[in-house]
Amino acid sequence: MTRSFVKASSPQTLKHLPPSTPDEIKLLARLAGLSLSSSILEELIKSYPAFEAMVRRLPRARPRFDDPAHHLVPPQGTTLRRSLDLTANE
Amino acid sequence: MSGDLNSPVRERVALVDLPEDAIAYESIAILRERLAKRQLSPLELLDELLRRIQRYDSALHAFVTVTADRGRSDARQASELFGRGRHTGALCGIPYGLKDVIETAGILTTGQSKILRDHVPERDAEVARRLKQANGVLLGKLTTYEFAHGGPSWDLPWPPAMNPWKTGYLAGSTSSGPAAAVAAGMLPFAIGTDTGGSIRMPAAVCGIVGVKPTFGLVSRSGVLPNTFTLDTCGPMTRTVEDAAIVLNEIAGYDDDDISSVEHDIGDYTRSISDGIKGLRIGWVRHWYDGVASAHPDIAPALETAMSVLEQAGAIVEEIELSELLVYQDCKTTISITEMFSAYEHEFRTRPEDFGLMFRNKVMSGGLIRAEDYFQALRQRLWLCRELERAFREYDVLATTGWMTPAEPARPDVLDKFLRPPNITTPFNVGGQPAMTIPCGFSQQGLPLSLQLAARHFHEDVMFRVGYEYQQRTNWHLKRPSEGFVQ
Repeated sequence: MTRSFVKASSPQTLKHLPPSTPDEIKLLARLAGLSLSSSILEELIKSYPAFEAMVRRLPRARPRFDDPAHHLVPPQGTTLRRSLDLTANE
Repeated sequence: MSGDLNSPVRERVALVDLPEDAIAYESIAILRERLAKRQLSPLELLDELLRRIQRYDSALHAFVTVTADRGRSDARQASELFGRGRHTGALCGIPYGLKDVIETAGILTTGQSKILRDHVPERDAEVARRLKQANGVLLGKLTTYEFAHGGPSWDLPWPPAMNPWKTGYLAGSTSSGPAAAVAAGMLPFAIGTDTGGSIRMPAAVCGIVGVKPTFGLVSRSGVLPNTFTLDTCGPMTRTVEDAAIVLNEIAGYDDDDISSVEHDIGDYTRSISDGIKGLRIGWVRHWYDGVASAHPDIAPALETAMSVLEQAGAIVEEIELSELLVYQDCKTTISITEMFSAYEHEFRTRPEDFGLMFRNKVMSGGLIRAEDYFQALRQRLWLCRELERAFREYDVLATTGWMTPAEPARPDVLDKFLRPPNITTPFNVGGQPAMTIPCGFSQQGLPLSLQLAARHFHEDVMFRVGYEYQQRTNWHLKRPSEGFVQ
């Protein structure tokens, strides 16, 4: 028998949202401060929907205490000690 | 032959009796023994490999830069150390190459990007420094995809590395140059980088061993960033034992890498031959078996590989983890956001200088919202915990090294923005050590691969399983025919 280690994640995602239109993608690029030539902007309009769909598949509405995995808190407190050392040098 | 092993005037065994490629395909374990016994000199080894590079690399494109002068200087120094009996270190006199995202003082380091086409660093990356300190012989900088991501990009000045096993086939993803060079007997080992599988995938399709160490075990200081929170450096070799030998030299804490972890580093070769009787292996078969994107030759090869491990005394049980797409969505959201931030200045000022593939795969990262990035980081912890639950019950997880054999090179076909999910990515998300090792060939004669992963910092257990597998099979002893030469 196959042993499963999968636990149900939050079922809430943003998959139901309609894909951004080319004009919306242009607006997002402008708001991001990207000044792109028309040919590169066209590339972005072609490539962005695949990434948008990916981001929208991520589960939302997690329990409040679900922390992010974060490399600034490595095992054994290495960074913490190093940060304290740097602070001391300042 | 007689006399003091360390005497500089000892008679050397003539090499003319050996087959032409005998030295080129020797393992590090054997080479260092022959070097120590003065049956072979570092300069002879260097010259043989340089001959092969000259002969084959015009077809394989594994090298961006051949560092023959530096190699000769390193080899001369190693010869002196052998002459004085001071050849400390397992890699003394052993040639190697570095993926061209690893900075090397005074040597061009392009990241295979027009952005850095003339970049000559002032200092070595930590991994390069450690190999120099181990008296290895640097023979070159090796082909990658732009900033270790998103290729092949046919609009860049460097052609992608080709697969030594079959003309017209790619050597895999971003550590393709290292994989092709090792598989073609141009180097006994190379150092690659792995953010989502970029060591393991090219190793898998080139029929060699590729090791992604535990995140934080090997310093990334001086390695051009791909994804800060996922990047790793690791060895690519022809045998599991060689991978353990190289990892011994490059693992260890580095204050200049914020993710570096202080951890007692043992000798990874010490328990490598202890056998695997009683080890528990979780077989993640559903990731490939019956999956549309998996090549039909993969499942039977893995079935046989798992039988070999069972016969060696391991307890093999099938397990289920989240689907690969769940891991991939999490990893890629993190990756493109961090990569965009790493190269944001260039995206704002000279986006046309990136290759098409890199630009198309990363530029969208500039449009991702902070809350989406953080949801991906929270998902990452969720998935890390899933893997931890599995590793509480199993010593090693096993699955295929890649979903397909090598792919044909198709400069006329643009890459998809998002490919089917990588089977290597889950262990980047979780940070565990993982490696691919050869486990057969497709009907077309292209290498297939087994992937093994272990608990954090339990590389020794992973190596034990891989070593035992290689003692019972001979896939790693097969060599590409030299038909790849055009």
